[in-house]
Order: sequence, then structure tokens, then C-alpha cells
Amino acid sequence: LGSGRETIRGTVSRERILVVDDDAGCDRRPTDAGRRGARRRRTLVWTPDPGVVEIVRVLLLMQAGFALLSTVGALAVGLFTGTLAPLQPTLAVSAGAAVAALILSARLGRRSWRARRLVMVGECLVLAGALVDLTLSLAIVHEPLGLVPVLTRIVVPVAVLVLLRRQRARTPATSSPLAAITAP
Amino acid sequence: VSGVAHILGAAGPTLGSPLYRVLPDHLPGLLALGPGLLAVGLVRRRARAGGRLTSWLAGGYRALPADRRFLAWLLLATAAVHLGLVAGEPRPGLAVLFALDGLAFLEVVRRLLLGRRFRRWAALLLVGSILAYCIAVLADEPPDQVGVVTKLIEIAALALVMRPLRATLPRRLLASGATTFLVVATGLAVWAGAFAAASRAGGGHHGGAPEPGTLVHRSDGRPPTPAERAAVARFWRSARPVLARYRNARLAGADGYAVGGMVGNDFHAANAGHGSDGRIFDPVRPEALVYARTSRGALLLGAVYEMPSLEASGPRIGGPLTEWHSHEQVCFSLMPPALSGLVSPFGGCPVGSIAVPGTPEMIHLWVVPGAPRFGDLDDGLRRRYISSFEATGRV
Repeated sequence: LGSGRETIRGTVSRERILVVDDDAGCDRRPTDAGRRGARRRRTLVWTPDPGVVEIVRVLLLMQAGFALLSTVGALAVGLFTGTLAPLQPTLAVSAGAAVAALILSARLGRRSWRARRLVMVGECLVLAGALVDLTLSLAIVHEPLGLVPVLTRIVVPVAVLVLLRRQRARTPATSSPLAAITAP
Repeated sequence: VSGVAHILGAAGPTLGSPLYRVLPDHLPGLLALGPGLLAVGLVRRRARAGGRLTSWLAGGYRALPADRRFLAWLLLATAAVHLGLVAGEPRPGLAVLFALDGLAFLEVVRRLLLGRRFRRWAALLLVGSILAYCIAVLADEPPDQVGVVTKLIEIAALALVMRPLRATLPRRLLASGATTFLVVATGLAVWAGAFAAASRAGGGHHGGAPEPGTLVHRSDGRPPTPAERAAVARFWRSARPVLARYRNARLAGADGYAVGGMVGNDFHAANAGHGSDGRIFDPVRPEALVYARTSRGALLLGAVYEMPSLEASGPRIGGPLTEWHSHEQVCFSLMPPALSGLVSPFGGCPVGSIAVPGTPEMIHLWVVPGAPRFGDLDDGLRRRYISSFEATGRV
């Protein structure tokens, strides 16, 4: 197996089909599915560009930092005003989101298909939150969001979504023969 | 103060923290992104026309993997911002440093595109630039949106530069942890810098440059007239009996103030009925009461008078003695409803909170001995008052 774009090298054999498990991302398990009928299982092959994955990983790490910083800010307010108790759910969820972003970033580095899906869902939620805040800002102070919120809450999530959407999975039938059917 | 002097001259009736704004002398840095893009277009055009160096650069770019191409764009962006800042920087020494920084970033991009060693130079430059900014904002430069965006670009670039070439698990963990740590540390430095800038300019809600989250009216700097002092005294004489009654939080609750679930030393018990009764700055009908929860129960600190809408300005019956303020970029948690902080330097609230962009104008009236009647309550004074009450049970 090659490392670059996950191109699979070796002697092509009609007897074996590379099956990529939906949950395990690139946990490639050569099986005898060619004989037994791989069509029974819905299989996906994710062959992402490592450079693109690296960009997404960095953006996710930064988003984890954004969430941690907001958590620290809420913690400081809670401590300063003595209102830590009602803020506990917010603190827990915010810190949890930061940890989730860190874990997903690591999983994405291992080409996990499920991580890709969860990241896309998370980015959609970030965009939805930004939309709420944009609506409030336009309604209350008649101004759009500032430069930094536009970058961190709109541009970054959209960039992650676009980059991940371009790295689609392919079923063996639609992927290139070398990527889908092989066995050394 | 000198660092924020140019903000004070900005247009508009109110002043806010530069953290949520673009400082006028940083605007050229932002605008320089346009000419930067044009320059890239020119390089591409010359490359198509057969220019030798430009062809090498364009060819080098095409040969790069996606993350290195992205890195090139990030470095170009920060180079453009730094070169643009030269135009707006009034201090010649700093302008020269900005120019050198911009040119150094361009050289790193050139090395990256030509396939030469660049990582060490890039890492040094990026770390130096981020560190210098953090020191500057903590020392005397108020942070603004252009500075924060530039640092975010540089942190992303640094994360890509420092990606371990041999990706063992410990190295990857270290690189990932370092990136997240750098984001948080830079954000905290920016936050601290914004508060420090407000503190240098007077501090509190009513300083020359307000704290993040507070909007104030520009001060005309004149002293109060005798008539204005008399008006404040009259207002206090009217409000004092009512506030004396509300020292008992149960009576306040009976009159419609939301005193349930009292926590902290700055609890605002609002009265929804007073907020919509159409009476403005009525001394006997404050829109909220401020309590501290102590070991001996609720302790009244003061009252809040609030305008009914964002557009309305509060009556300045005491001139400079009655400076109204409002709040901006406040985070409000939805689970359960509570103030959850300020919008962070990176533009976000804690997850599950919404960012409230503005509030109506308000003014505090304090009953704490030694505090100004209207304005800011010093934190030390607040703590001493609470301690004294807890020790003696008397106000």
C-alpha cells in the first residue's frame, strides 16, 4: 500500500476486493468478498488528499482553542461574580465541545470516515450559531458581525465543509479500479 | 493612554473597546490584502508570459501539496498586512519593523515556492511575530480586530509549519497540543491587553477607553455645575427611602423584583413591570436592584435605572455625574439563562450561549458608603462592604 494519496499498488487480482468499513474509515480489510458478493455490503473508500486533511486538522485544533478560550472566559466571569453554579452546564458543554474537536482532529488524521461526518455536522452547528448571532446583531444594533467572528465562525467552518466535501468517499464501483479492487 | 488616543477621535457618540473594532491606523493593513491579491495575479500573468523567476514561483506553487499551498497563502496574507501597517503606523521605529517583518515573510514564501529550506525561518518569524504582538498588547497597544485576525493567520501557519515530518504519535500529540495552547494563550493575552488598555485609560465603565463589553458616551471633560450637583442630590433624596425598604430582599420580591436564585456579589434582580411602565429614570421605580449574596443573606448594593430601548439616551440630569453606559458583545447562556461572559477575542461565546450585541443604556445608583452616587463601584470597596456586613451584620 502506498502512503501518498492512499493509492493502492500491487498486483490486481479479481479475486479480492478492498472493502473499507464505514465505521473504521481506512481500516482496509481485504476479504474474499469478490467471491462472496461485496455488493451485499454498502462499502465506502475514502481516499483523502493528506494535505487537505492536514489543513482541516489545523482548523479543528484552532476551533478547539476558540472553545477553550470561551470556556475560560465564562469560568472567569463565574468566579468573579460568584455565579459559577448556574454556569456549570455551559462550562461542561463548552469544554466538551473543545475536547470533541481535539478528538475529531486526531481521528480525522487517521482518515476516519465517521470523524469526517461528525466534523461536518459540528461545522453546520457552528454555522447555525453564527447565523443566530448575525440575525440578533442585525436586528438589535443593525450591524453585521465583526471581522474576527466572520473569520472564525463563518469562513473557517465553511472552509472545513468545502474541503471535506471535496474529499468524498467513493463506492468501489465508482472509484478507480486501483483504489477499489486490489490485492497484493 | 496614547495607544488609544486615536480611537477617541473616531466618529460616533459612544466609545467601545477596540477589541471589537478596527483601529483606524490598522485599517491599511487590512486594505493591503487587496493589493496583495493583485500582486499574486501579476506574478501569475508574468509567469504565463514566460518570466523566469515568476515561472519558477508559479511552477513551485503548482508542485506543492495542498497544505503547503495553503501555508503560502497564509504567509502572503500576513506579509501583506504587515506591509500595509507601515502606511498607518505613526511611530517610525515600529513602521520599519513592520516593513522588515513583511519582507521577511515574503522571503519565506519565496523559499517555500522554490523548494528551499524554509521551515526554521518560518517558525522563527511566526513565533517572533505572535510573541511580539502578545507583549505589545500587554504593554501599551490596545488589541483590535486586524491584530487578532493576523495572529490567527499566523497561528494557523505555524501549525502547518511545525507539522512533524515523521508523524509519530507523541510528535503529533505535541504538535496538536501546542497549536491549541497557542490559540488559548494568545487569546488570553489579547483579552488581558484589552482590559489593561481600559485600565490605563481610566478603567471601569466610564474610563477614557472602556473595558471590553461596555459602551460609554464620550466625556466632554467639564466639571459638574452647581445645578447638576443639586439635581443629583434631589434624585438621591427621592430614591433613598425606597432603597432603604429594598434592603429587605423579601419586600423587593413582593414588589416584583426577581430576587429568587440569588448568587454572587453582583446579582441584578430585575423588575419586568418597571421595565415596561413607560417611566424613565424614576427614582422610586428602578428597573433592577443590585444585591450581593452573603453569609448573612442578601445585601443591597444599589439600583439600576435602564432606558426602555436601544435608541434612547438616558437623561444626564447631573451632567458628568450621571454618565450612562450600555453593554455590547455580552454572552448569554441558554441553559439555564445566565450571563456567561463576554464575546472572546476570537469572536465566540461558550457553546450554548448567544452573543447579545447591545443593550439599552443604564446607570447604577450605589448605596455603598464611600462609593460615588452614580458610576462605577470599586471592587475593593464592594469587597470591604460585604466583609464588613458579614462580620457585623450592619450596613
